[in-house]
Amino acid sequence: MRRKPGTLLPLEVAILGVAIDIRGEEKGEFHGYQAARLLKEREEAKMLTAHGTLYKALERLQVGGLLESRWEDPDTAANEERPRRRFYKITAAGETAWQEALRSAHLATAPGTPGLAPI
Amino acid sequence: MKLAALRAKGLATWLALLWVRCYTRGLAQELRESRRAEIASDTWDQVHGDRYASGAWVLVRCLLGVPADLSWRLEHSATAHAPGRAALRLLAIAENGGRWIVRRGLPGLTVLFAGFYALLGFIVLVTIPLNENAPHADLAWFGGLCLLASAFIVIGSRRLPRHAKSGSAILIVGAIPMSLALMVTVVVPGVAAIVVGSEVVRGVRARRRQAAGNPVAGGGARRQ
Repeated sequence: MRRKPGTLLPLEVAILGVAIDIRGEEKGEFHGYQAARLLKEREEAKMLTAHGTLYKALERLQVGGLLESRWEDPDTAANEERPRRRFYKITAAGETAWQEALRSAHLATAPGTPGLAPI
Repeated sequence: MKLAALRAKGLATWLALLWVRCYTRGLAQELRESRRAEIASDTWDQVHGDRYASGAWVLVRCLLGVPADLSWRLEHSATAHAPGRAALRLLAIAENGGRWIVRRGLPGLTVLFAGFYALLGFIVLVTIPLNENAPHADLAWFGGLCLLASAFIVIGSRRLPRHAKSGSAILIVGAIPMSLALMVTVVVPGVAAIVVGSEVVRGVRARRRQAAGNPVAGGGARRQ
């Protein structure tokens, strides 16, 4: 899909929103399935975001430097008898990008904006 | 939890991970292993963390991500050629369709199926001359019926929260033909394919075990 460099897709903005929400918690990190669950609640969707859609967006955000990731310690996963998780965390650039995206969304929906007048 | 539900979850997980193995095949090892491990972890969390997650939902979640998986794969392959770019554009449209369904849930999925049947019916109507001896023209009726059924499902599910009785009635009227259509065209062939596939895999494994346990009678004898 063609997109302007630096622009974020709605799903990417939503993921950054989830990352911002989680930032205040103990570790400030989230894994893929956790993001899918939080996105479902946040967007009031009926289903979890599909694997392909979610991980493609997470990878794009990471490549763009908006998220950083680390693999969980193998021993922790082994102790809990489950596969290893990959944890994501928002970066300073990610926070800036999220604020920019919110500002432009606010401008687009503000009353009196040409072409996007309220109904 | 019932054994059948556990088996369904196990089968859905296996199919989802099999699909990941397919589309990551041939990629750089680090990229391939990373994607496989991440999906394995996600599926495990979904199956074990959400007690309401059925095998069907695990599979639907995987299927809705197929366009994104394919476009991800194309992005990581050589995409300088025009067909690659065109394919990426088509996959992006399909990906948006997947997101649309995720937001709407079952009614969205129903509209997708109904749209497919209706499109099939429309193509049949356009390509096959309508006369008494055109047997495939029935497909057009089938498509129209599916579209009507999906409209009933969407209306019924919207009406349900406020008008329980009439909402349920409309939902049932739409659900019966759609369920039959899905059973005939998707579920029965799908289950048959899964059963045959698992039998083939079991047969191959049994033969390997036999060969490993008795090298003289198996591969070992052939090698001599």
